[in-house]
Amino acid sequence: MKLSAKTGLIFLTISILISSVLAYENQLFPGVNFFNDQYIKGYKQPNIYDISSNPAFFRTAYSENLTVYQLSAQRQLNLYSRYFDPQNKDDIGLDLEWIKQLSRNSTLAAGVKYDRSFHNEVNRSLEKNYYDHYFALTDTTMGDIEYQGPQLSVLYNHELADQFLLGLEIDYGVERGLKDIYTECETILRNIDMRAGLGYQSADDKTYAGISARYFNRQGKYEAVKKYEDAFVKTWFGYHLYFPENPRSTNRKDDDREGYQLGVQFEKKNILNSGLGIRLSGDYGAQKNNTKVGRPTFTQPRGYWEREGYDLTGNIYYHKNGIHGQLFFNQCDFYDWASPKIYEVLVLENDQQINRVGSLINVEVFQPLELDAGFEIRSITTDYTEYVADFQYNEIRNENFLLLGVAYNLNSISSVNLRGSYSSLEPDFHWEGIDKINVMSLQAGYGRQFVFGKLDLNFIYQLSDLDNAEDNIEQFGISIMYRK
Amino acid sequence: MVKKLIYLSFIAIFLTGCFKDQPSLHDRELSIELFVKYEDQALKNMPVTLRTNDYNLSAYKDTTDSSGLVKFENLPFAEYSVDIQGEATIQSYLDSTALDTVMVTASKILSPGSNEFFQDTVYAIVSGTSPGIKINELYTCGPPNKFFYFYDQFFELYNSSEDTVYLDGMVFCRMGTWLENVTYIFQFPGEPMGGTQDYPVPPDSFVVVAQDAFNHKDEIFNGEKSVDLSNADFEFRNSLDYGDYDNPDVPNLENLEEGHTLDFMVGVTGDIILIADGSDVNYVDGIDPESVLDCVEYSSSSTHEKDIEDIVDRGFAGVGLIKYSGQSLERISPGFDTNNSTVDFEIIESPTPGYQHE
Repeated sequence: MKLSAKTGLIFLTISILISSVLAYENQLFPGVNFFNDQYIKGYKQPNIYDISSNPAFFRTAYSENLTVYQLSAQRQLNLYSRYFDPQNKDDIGLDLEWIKQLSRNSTLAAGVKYDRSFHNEVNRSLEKNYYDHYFALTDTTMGDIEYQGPQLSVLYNHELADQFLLGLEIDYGVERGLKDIYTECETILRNIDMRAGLGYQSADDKTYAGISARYFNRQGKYEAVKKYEDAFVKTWFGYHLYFPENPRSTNRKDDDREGYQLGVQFEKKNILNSGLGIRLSGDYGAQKNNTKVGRPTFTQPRGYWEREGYDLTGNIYYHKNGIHGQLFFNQCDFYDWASPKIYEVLVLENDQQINRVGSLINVEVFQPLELDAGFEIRSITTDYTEYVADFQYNEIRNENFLLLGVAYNLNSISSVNLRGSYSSLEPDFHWEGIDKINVMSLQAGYGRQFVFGKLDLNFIYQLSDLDNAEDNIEQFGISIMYRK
Repeated sequence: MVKKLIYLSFIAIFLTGCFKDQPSLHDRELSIELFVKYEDQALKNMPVTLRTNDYNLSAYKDTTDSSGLVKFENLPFAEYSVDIQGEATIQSYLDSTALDTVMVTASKILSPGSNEFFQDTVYAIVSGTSPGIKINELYTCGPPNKFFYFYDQFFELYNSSEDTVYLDGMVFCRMGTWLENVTYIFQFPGEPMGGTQDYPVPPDSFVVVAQDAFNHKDEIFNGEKSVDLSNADFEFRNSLDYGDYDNPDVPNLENLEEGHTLDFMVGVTGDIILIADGSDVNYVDGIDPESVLDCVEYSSSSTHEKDIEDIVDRGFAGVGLIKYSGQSLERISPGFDTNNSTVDFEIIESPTPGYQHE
């Protein structure tokens, strides 16, 4: 799995539908999107929970009851597509989230999500994203694959004693995918992600410190069946070599993942009453992935890979007099190794470091008008080697992101907002022949307060222009959100 | 809270322990050294080919040195089949002071394990297959279709000798696991072993034996996909199978087995086919190995365990053959026979009845 690809996706989907895009795939270090729309427009203030996901600090972010319902839809037209990509994708997501303050010292949050994703005209890949897997499964046909499934999440945050906080969070999801033509591959993913955290909050609410632990586990089952012809299935080792699986009536792949993450967090607010604050979060973690392929009654080891690394995130922020500004940084460093399992040898290695720095400012220019501006600079160092194919990729890629936004309160109950962004991405070797991708995005929203709550309507259009390619990638999205 | 911290620490230690040690060896660091010998004599300048089914890699080829040694370096860790075929100068059987130049052949499966250095000795034998009638092509897997149609199966014979061979009385068998297990046995018309000479096969010529000798393209597929066997040289016929098609213009191979009511239908992606001179038609105790002219085992599965005895076929063909794909199995060149179907045959995308593929 390439973290760079994932963080790239965050850039490409600025605000809506992030949950459905990343559903069911536990990332070791999910990364923080500092430009999340909710972050800026905020029914919540910037807080340590955002950058650490330590459930012990959930109450510091959400101190009131909240109900959020969101329905979103997105279409992506891959007029340019890589060999194993779909020609187009449609995503529909329904998110229901509730936060309830049970008592002065207890908070309960629950969420239900249901996503449906249609990957149309997928060339050969039996994976949701072929380029996210070191041991991917393919067949020889082009078809449409539909994914759907629910996710449930529960979070409980409790103040154990004065100034000490405990948080527990469990996310659980199941997803089923089905390809419409031979090999009619059926995928079933089961995902569980648990976090536990302890936190300290000083009496003056200016200092926070915490520790957290996370355990995640994913089981994946794939079954490609024959229909009149044998299921002609291949397992890839990296991205250049494959093993032709034996022709048989049914080819089964078991793809299991398990990992953990340990973190520490610290925040100091309003230092010397200046409005300045600092947050730091550090995580260490590892995950292992085990792939087996064979017949349904007996699968044989095909590949095993591990990832180990750390993630450091922090920001220095200013929060006073209607000005919210921050400087942030993130360093994510991980190392992957993979073995074909049959032989105790290294089949590939991937050493990657991602450095991100940026800034974001939100200013209330005058009463009805707010401006947002931000930038992020990323440097991605990749040292990737496939030993059997004798393939090496050793590059430093630089990526930039710019954001400008304006929000205007039309009156006391309605507002509009407009955001535009530009990012310049340097894709890795998976985008063969593409040196650069320029992504332009425009998002428009309208919000209105009713007696029963607030409704927000958002539209997004995004164009990814690829150097050295005649075609591009377009995305359209719409979301409607109710919150109270 | 201290207890909870300790508990969390235990979880972390436990999870860390579940991970594996990183291998110290990189792939593509495997070295294989092979000594190629004929009996005790090292064979020099012998072409050696390594192939693997573990990856989509091309074959590795090299030649033995003067001591019969060949070295392959920087290979991926995988299971390899080694194939050797070439001319060797060896001591004559008839005159120990003289030398004979003969074709020798060898094959072996190499499973190197996880050690970076692997050494083995491969013993070649004189290619025991004499020229004559060969099963040159097996079209078994059926055309692309969605109703399990495979009745257009046929077998192509080829006379690789310099003399005319007569098919009279020869038997064509579908075998079980061993030579003693005959599943079907059908016989060419005429008397075997020179009793009659009505069905000659001139040198370098092909004979097509059809399951049913009609145009499967027109009858079933409206001009598409299948094969026209209306001009086959022979067809299988079982008079106990009342529905078996019989082309009056094509001579028949008749079923010899009592109570057998099926046509000559073989497995679409795996089976054993044998042709014998007809001197042994007592199928109950199997087929006399001395009478076997040619035998081909095939299986689409690379992990298939070899069945028939090595003396009639030392390998099996057809790995990767796809059911109902229209693919066929044919010798790499007409009559090419090292008694190892693994190297003798290749998969071709469409059948070629009566001629060799290009």
